[in-house]
Amino acid sequence: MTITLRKCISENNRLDKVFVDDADKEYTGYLREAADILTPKIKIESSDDLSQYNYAEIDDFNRKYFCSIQLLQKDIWELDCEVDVLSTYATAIKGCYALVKRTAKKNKINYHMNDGVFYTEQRQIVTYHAFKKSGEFAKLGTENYFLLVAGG
Amino acid sequence: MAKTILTGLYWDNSQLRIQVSNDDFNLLVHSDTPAIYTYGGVDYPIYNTGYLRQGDYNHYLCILGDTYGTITVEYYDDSRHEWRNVGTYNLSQSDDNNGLWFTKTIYNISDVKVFGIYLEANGFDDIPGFTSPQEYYDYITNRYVQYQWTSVPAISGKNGILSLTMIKDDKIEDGTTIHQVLPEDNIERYTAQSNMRLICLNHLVNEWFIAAESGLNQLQLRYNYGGTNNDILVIEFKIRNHYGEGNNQYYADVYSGQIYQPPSLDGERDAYLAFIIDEENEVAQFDPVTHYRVAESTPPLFGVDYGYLQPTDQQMAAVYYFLKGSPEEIDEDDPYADGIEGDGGDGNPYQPQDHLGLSTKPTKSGLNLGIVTLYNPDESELAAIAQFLWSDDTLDNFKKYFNNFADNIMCLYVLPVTPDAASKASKVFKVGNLASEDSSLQSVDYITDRYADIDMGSFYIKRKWDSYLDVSPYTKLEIYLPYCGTHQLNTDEIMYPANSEGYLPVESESDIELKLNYRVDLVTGNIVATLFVNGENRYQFTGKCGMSVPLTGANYNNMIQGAITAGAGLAATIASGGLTAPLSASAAVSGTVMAQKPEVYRSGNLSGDVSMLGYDTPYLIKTIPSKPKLDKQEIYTGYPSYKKDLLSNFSGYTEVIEAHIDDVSCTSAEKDRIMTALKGGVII
Repeated sequence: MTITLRKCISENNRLDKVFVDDADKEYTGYLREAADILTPKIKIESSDDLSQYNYAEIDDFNRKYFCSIQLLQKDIWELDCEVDVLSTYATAIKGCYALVKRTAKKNKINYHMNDGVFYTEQRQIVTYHAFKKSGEFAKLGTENYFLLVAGG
Repeated sequence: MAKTILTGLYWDNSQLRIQVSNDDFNLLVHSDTPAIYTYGGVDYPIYNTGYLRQGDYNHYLCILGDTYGTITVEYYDDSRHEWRNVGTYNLSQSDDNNGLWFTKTIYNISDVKVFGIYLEANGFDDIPGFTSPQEYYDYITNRYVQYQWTSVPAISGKNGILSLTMIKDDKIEDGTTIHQVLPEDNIERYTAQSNMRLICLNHLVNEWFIAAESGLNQLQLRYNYGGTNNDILVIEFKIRNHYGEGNNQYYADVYSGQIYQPPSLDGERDAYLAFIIDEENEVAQFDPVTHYRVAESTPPLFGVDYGYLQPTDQQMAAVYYFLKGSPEEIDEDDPYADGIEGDGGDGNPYQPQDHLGLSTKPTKSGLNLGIVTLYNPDESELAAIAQFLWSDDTLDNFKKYFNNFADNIMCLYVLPVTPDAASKASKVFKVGNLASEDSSLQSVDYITDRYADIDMGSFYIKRKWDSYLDVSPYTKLEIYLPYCGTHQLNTDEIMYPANSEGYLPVESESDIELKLNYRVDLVTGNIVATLFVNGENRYQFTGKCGMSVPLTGANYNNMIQGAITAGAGLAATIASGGLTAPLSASAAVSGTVMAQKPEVYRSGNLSGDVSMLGYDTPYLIKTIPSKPKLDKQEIYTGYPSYKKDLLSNFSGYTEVIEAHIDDVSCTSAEKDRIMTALKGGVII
């Protein structure tokens, strides 16, 4: 089997991970112990410094993994892996329909839904808008008139 | 995206059933399709030729898939009660093919349920051998225009959407639609009772005329006859959408194309415009299609040919928007529509409303009947009137007829209203039957129209955020009206006024006109202030203007008493507003505390004499939330979507409510992890 160790700089919840360029290390060997496909623990003998690696791809398992690496003894590293389902199945996931609650995609946002992500300050803006006629304030009462109600 | 491989095609009476690699779904052919094909008086069972074909070629068939592949065609053998294999065929894009009627690819659609809505025009026969149009006309003497509009309720008649109600109606040309206000209303239309011969005879050869037209968005068919190359019939499809408002309305084609009838065919010709709606109620494809002869046999076999026209992607998009409007509008207007009748929830997004204008003035005013007169004297005339009233002669005369002249001088007050010159006249001032002989009172203005309408101005407001923050309880609107006080308005109604068809305004319609009109009763000083929102009467408030001038001691006492009462009421109102203003408990998440701010009444019932001392310009008080600038907030938390689509159509931070991840080939535990991750928010 072939294990490719990589340095992932993406958030764990990103489907398409980004890696440090030219840092991949590839190791070929075979399993000596049983390994759970979702959370395999694999020992590697290597004189390389693997302490900065945090991601692995195992082609035989058809999966990608987050991994933590510890040095057991000189040149013996243990990879404690946990499957990264988002990256492993990224293509298939993107092909799924979903009812989406929140998104950053501009044309998919409905700003009229209120689910509490628009934060507002306690202070408010109070503005005053006069009714106008021909650009001037409309008034009732600038000029006054007498009215006399008389019988007859 | 799951691949949909066509693996089976079953023609089962009125249903064409397609089996695909991962699911079964039905393609409904919307007709009363017979299982027996009749030609020349002979019935041919649909399966006896070895070809799978429609029993009645007046039907539209389509097969959908997002890839080409091998299909197996079977038919149902009634005698054996089983499906029998016809053959296996490889589909390719160039196929159109051996008596089968498929070879179409649907744009980006998988797992498609098909709801074909189509219209067909059927009325012209093309029989080879006609030597002149007249001969042809004679042949069709007794034939009539036939409309066979057929549809499924996949689309409703909302704005921008083909009105199926109109299409299903044989009287499609009689629709009371907006196009009637346009110049194109003059175009000729023919009813289903129109005689084809008469129609043809009334048109020049090669003249285009519109043979059918739908309503709201004007889907029409045009026919041409005569022509060249023996093309007796040319059909042009036009899908036209309506644009603009007010005096700037017009139609423009979103699609236009022609079908030339294949000259070598015989038999009736049918032309269809097919809309294929996928399970998302989106337009997957539309095509003008014709039948064509696929085998020289008796009876002839017909297939459906898509080859004459192929709409471009732009036209497809135009038709999509023609039918569906913008996706956002669909989501907001009709969130529950599933295209299935009878299960509720579909509602009717078309909610027309009526125009409410200014009220009608009372037709009876009590003036000008010799009972009372409403004089409008200037100050010099009023001084002369005073002299007239208080002169000894006058008093003596009054005493002859009355105990108290105040019975006839009912009131004198100052009004802030300019009486319209057109509603005034002049005459000799008189009280009762006693006319003044004072030369300065021989022509005193008096009011002939008791009710004065006063334009109190207008202005436009805009929504601040174009989000839910623009409505209550986050945004508050109050209006101050001189002589009527301050009143709270329904923010939702003002900020998002529905248009005449009941739709919410789109974002571009952000200017909202508020216009104010006062109607004043000049006898009593009563006011009705009418607030118009985008020209619609939405609010009416009452008040009172005018400042009394006491003529008698009783007048004065009443006025003072009235002022005390009004002042007490005002104070009580303010106290009440301040002390008992509700602390809103229904505030939503955003601005929760802000929504709990107390309501404070500003001016209470400011009317009557004291109102003359108040501010005389009406104004709106708009209280809006202040939103902090959170740069790029969407990449951290996302913004609300509540829309359903392929996840590939989203990007950046995405948080789902639910997702269908059935097609992801992974372990159950991994599916759980995927769902947990999607619900927790992922970055696509």
